[in-house]
Amino acid sequence: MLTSNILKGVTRGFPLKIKADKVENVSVDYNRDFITRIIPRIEYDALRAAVNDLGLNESLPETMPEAVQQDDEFLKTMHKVLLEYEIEEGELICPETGRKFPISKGIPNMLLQETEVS
Amino acid sequence: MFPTPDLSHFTRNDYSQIYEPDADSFLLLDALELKLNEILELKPLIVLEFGSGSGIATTFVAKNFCLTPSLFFAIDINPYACYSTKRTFEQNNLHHKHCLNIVQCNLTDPLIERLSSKVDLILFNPPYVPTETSDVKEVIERTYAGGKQGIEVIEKAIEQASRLLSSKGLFYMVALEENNFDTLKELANQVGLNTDIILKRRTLIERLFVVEFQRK
Repeated sequence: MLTSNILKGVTRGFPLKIKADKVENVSVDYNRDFITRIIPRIEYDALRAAVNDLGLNESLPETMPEAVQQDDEFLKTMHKVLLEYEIEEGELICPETGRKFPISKGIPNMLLQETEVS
Repeated sequence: MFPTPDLSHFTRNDYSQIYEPDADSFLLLDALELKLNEILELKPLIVLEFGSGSGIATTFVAKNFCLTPSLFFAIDINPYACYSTKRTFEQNNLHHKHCLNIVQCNLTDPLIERLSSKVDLILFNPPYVPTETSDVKEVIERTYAGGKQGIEVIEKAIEQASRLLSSKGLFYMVALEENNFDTLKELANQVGLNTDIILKRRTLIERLFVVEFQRK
């Protein structure tokens, strides 16, 4: 799930919309320090959109809590959302061009055709 | 000496589709080991490998250089290499500790904006062999064909690395004598990076070295 928060589409297409055909739950050791360091690098609105795209039953507040460091419940939810949901099969869709990037075995194929590269 | 990551899950059939780790791969691992203290001190949070292939270098770093959880990005144009990187990471039991993101793409085009100035450690064992062109179709050929002077892909990677590196970030890359260190130094200089040769080795057929790049 984290990957989709970093990728962009054809030109400025961000965030990519996610269509998931198969989502897998993986278990990653919870590390408070790690997730605290990652959070400032996340586009929060894009992440909330992704949670919504996937229809996950995880509640992320509308805006990021101010005292993130002290909010253990929030940190644990972020850990789970970012690291423990893996989109095995599906596609990422560029919001500008509608171009679809397939995800197979958990790996998105972002290769563009020569004609698409500006 | 750290052990080489476990690659016992691969068969000959796999190596017909991905680059089989060779002297150049092991040279990169040895060079990293020489820089162990610097890398540990950096406490890399984000690590990225261009053309991760079998996944040997990313796995080696995850296992030995990142004592706390880190975020790994491995990219390759070859889907089979992407999947192989994932397998090697899992084979070495690193996927519960670290977060590995694999993307099939050409260099870091779709990632570079969001990762700009954020990557602490970059690795690259590039296609460095001088060939007529680096624009080749066959997957195995793409693992080595470096185009003119062997630096067509290297040149792009240095430019991207200069944007990706964090302020103290380190970038390690294998190169061939024919790539010409002075050329690499000049390319890096143009994009604001310092260069240093940290390890040289002569194999039966090649004279190789590993370059360290860092922001000035």
